[in-house]
Amino acid sequence: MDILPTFRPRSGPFLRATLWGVAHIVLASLLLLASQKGALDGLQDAAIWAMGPLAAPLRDLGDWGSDVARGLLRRPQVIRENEALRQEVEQLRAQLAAQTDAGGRVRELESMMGLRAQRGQDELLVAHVIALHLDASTQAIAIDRGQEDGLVKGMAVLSAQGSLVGTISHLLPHHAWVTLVTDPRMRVNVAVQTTPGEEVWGIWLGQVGGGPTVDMLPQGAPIKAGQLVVTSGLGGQLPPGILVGTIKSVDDNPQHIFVRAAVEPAARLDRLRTVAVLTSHRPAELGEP
Amino acid sequence: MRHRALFLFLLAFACLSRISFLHHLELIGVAPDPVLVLVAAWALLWGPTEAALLLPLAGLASDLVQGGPVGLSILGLMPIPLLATFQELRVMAVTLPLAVGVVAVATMAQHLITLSVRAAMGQGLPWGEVLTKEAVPEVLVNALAISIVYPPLQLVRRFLGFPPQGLTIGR
Repeated sequence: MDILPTFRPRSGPFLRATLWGVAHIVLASLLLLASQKGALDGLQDAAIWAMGPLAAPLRDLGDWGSDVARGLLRRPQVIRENEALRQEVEQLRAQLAAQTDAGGRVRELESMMGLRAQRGQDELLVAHVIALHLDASTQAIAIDRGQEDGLVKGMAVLSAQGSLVGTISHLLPHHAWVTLVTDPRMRVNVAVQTTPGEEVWGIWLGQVGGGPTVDMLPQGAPIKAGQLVVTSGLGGQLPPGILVGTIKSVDDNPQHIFVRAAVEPAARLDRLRTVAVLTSHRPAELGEP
Repeated sequence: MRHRALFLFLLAFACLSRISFLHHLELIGVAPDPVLVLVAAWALLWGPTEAALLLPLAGLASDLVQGGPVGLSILGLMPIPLLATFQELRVMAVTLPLAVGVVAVATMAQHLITLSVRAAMGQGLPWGEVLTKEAVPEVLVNALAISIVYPPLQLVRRFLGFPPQGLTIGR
């Protein structure tokens, strides 16, 4: 006589779950195929259009809540930072006053030589940020301009202050997804401004779950924290001279072939509201030499 | 049908939170995945068949609002009904530890599936980095999220007229 309870596995539920799994794989494969062909772009466009207005107040609420929580947790640090920033603003104002005169002379020289500031020629299209996708392996925003506004994949997207936010990666009829400079797939040819008029070329690389870096910098280059990182224009994807970020720290281990530097994006990417798409620069599509 | 209307409402909120404020709720560098947590909780509370039925909708909604390749999230969420089958077999009572376990395994499976599909699509990322910097922390964060979400959903289930789940081990 059996006195111990026996466990008899039932195949029914597992078989059913497996059949559901097969159905899901078939459905997902069909959707992925359609998505790759662009057949679902209209549907994605409509979803962003529908969700955008609802997401905006929630985003504001989230930002406010985050500010309150941070303020409560970091009050003494905020006070110290505030004091340091005030001093920095004062210093910068003093520098600005000293440079106003020099700036006037530069403008005279530029007009004499027929040169114009590069950004002055650029055409910008203002767009509003309507959705965010910020996780460790994807850093992207959705904007309310798309293919029908004349946008092209790869165009540069700038913050309201003029620094590089990212590039257009997925175009929909009325919206577009912008891959941010912090995305792990992001690669930008950049130049580090070491001394006035001198720069060192490198490659801006987004990282999984962490801050971006600038790699491929030559050994011995005078790279220091605080130096500005701008687009170099190499490859023709982006125009030169757009601010991307600043150097945070430098890893110049002499045993490495290249120097790598940790960088911080110039724009506050999790708080973007309005951006500008640089429509006057069409990204070059260079083939093999 | 009322529970399905509730699912749709919660799904819409989960998708909205993902594209609006969820990045502010980051712990150890990652935010919880509300869609995965919702589908896992649903699978355990209303059964794997119900979850299998609603899963494509959740995956589709997630991909449509997040701009990713449409269909990828369906594949990522696919292991959940299979994992929830353990509850149906009553190998273990439906309690919070089982929910936490299902979410943990489902999160890791989702990352592995997503990495594989993205690699096949030519959008590969370094596996080691994604697994250590995103998947493992997300397992912990999602486990914490379901610990918060699961008990109220159990109450909602009872409120909607479904019988309470028993604390039994074995059949």
